[in-house]
Amino acid sequence: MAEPGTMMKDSLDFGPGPASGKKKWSALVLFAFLLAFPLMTQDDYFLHTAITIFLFVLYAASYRLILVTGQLHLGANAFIGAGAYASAIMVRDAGFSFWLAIFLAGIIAAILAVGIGYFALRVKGVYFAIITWGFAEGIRFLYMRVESVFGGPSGFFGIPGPDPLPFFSRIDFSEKTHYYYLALALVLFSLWVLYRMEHSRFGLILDGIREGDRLAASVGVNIMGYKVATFAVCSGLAGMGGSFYAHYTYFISPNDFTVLLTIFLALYVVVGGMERLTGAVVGTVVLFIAGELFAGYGFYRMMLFSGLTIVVLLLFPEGLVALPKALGRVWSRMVKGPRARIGNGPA
Amino acid sequence: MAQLELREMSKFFGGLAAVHHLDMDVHRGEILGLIGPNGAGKTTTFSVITGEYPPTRGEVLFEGQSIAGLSPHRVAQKGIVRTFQLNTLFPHLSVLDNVLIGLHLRAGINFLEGLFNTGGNRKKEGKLIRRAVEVLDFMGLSEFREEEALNLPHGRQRSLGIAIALASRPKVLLLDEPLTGMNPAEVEGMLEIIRKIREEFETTIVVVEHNMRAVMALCERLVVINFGQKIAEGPPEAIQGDQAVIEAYLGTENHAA
Repeated sequence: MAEPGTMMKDSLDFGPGPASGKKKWSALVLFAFLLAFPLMTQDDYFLHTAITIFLFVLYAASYRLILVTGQLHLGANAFIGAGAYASAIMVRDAGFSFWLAIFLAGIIAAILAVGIGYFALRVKGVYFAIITWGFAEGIRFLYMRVESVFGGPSGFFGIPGPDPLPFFSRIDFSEKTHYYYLALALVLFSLWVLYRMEHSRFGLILDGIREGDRLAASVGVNIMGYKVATFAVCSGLAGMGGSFYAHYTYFISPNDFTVLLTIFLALYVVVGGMERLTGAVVGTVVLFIAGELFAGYGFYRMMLFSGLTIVVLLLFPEGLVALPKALGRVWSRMVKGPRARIGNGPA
Repeated sequence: MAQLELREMSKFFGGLAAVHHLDMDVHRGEILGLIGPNGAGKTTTFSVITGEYPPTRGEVLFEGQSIAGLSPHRVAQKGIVRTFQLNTLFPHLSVLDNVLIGLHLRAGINFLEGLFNTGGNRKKEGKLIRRAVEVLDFMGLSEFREEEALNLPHGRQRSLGIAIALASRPKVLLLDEPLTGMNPAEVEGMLEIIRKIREEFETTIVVVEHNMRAVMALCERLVVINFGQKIAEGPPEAIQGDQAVIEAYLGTENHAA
């Protein structure tokens, strides 16, 4: 392309991103590893952990974009739960195919988000937090009280797994590996949507709203529209994750979708680093695996987990994604620093 | 018919009338000065026109249609865009990104196009960047394109504020104190730019400004308000000699002298 605009374009965040060769390669290697992972281990525990991590990465990444727009969201659990329950009811009681239900679950969660967001997004900070939290608790109350539809406090049993893939009926979700690839596809799809949202004109306008909402409105940006749209897309993705969860575990209960779930997502995002999408991914993977490693310590598990979180936040307030940079600083201080100060040879 | 009309417009904050029964006509293609002492209600008038506050009473008509009570982004869509008193920018974004956001109304890129980054999308983005660069050239900012807006010197930040507003090619541009904190040379340059904006963008311009010498040189017509009410209206020469205006600015002591 010889258009005058194209050269400058590379310096911007638009387009598919000027991902450097190194980045591209490491992404490819990682992708290959994830594809090959089930071939390396048949251990159900590892597969299950990987699937759960994928799911939490999806939740955390979609949760992050709402935080980034400046909204203290405490109701992510509501939309995950809504997707899970909607999908479970559609498949078990209404006889829908899972493949239709998971999309509808996403759409239902998104519509719910539009309904709540239209009112709640007018306020910020702690007010938004209270409204979303209250909504999430309210919806949980509904699951508990309306037993005929949602199964009540004891939960919703007998959710069928996904039906076999059309044309590839060998993939019938009788094995964990099949779920593994479905979860992988789902998380990659979600990350792609979120990445593109942030790195397109849509994301630029979101930046503008965060940096100066009055100014953005004065040049014609429909701030409510953008906030609601972001909230809806993120909640819709979370709802699809919830749907997967329901059909993976065959059983859901109101206790699966408490505010604690959202708190964990916030932890993952903040510890990983809010600035970038990779932060949500890294934070989730590291903290989740840490949580699993601490699982053997029973009583001390939560203390270890919290301790790790506090240490990371104290040392790297910008999150784990800032780790390479921070280590670089420490390294240069150790190696070059003394030399520069004393001025005679390595310390 | 005036392009923009205020009819008996009042804006109350609690019991306080910031603007009271203001009638004002803005004609297509003119440079109108809206002046008055501090706290006279000039900026409130801008905020009512652009929809940040609905008027308590009265009408705001744009090209014959009522725009009173529309939200700011709807007013901007109609073609009225303002700048802000302080250097209101997107501080942590590049100068180019600032203007690209200003181009919002001209972008015409929908969500799915952006999501899939289609060829059409890329072409449109390229076009938008060229357009943004044109605006930056016009405002003399192209060398700062990649700079973070926050790091620009004060005068350049004022220019960028106008560039953001200008990017949407408004029919009416409301400038709130565009000359504050500028030295005489910078003021001269800015006046030149404002005149050029009118010529090249065929924009109607309303200026709120305290620098009287500049206002007199720039505007064809002035509306003077004090305590939210209009006290005079007319060409600069007439306003300069107007007794009510002199009193408003200097107090009645002058009158006695």
